[in-house]
Amino acid sequence: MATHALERGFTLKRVLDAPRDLVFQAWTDPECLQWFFNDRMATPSDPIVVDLRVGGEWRQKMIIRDDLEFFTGGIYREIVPVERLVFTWGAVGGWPPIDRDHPENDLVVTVTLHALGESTEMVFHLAMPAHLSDERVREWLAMGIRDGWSETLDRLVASLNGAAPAGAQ
Amino acid sequence: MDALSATFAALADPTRRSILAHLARGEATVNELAAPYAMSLPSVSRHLKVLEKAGLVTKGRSAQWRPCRLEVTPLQSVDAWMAPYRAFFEHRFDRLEERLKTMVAEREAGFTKPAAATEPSHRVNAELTDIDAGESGPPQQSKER
Repeated sequence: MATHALERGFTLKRVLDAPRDLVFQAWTDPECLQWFFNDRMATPSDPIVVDLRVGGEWRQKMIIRDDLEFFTGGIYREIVPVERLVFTWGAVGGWPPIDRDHPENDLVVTVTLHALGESTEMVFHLAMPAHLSDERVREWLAMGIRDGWSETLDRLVASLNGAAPAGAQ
Repeated sequence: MDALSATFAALADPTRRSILAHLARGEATVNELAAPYAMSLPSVSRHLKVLEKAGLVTKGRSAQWRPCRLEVTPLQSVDAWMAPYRAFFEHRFDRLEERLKTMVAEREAGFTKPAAATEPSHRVNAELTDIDAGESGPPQQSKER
């Protein structure tokens, strides 16, 4: 029961078999960010762009189908090399949409890296503002679901939800 | 307001979340719920009404105390709603693990790259397409679904 979300957001933890400077590099070096692509997509010709400073953007293109592609990434809010990275998730004109005039709507990701010897515990937290209108969020969600891994999602939703269908009344 | 919106609205208050956390440990009366908050009973009752309306709490009928009980179904809907976002990152972190394997291997082989090297690059590196076919590779595309 305690595992159910009481706030809009969630935390994911992973122990990664690499020292944290490499994990930090994997998050912030454009030459290392291919892992963030959709793995079924065509390779975009647009380069991954990282402007690693507060207010700077990280952008990379997701190609879902021939007729559906969008930018994602983030805008950095806080950068503590090898320890902590805070960014608004999404892209201006991309998904999730970032509106620079309305930072109160931002989805904020915090990645914290703890050294465990030669390994790293990565704590990932996504916070969504509680006031976001449901309609807005559904729009985003509808777009996210098209991200080419609906089978994975179906499995996940099924396992989370038992017999109850997603979004059941 | 649809059910999910009502749930989110009910969850948007810290007192109500802490009432739910209390009820997650078991049933409780309104008096018991009010005790930790130095809050008036009517004020706690108001919060409980919001939670009841959202279907997060029910009150017993028979007992004189009408103990409050947590209902998990709306919370499961919240989890389900969050699942695609969770999946977006879970899926990518599998790939991050793969990427880190090659980075560690490269470092051990002596191709050390300083961690601080973060100059923007315009080179698109296609090397990861190989890793995609690795053990935690993408789910197979299935046409019948």
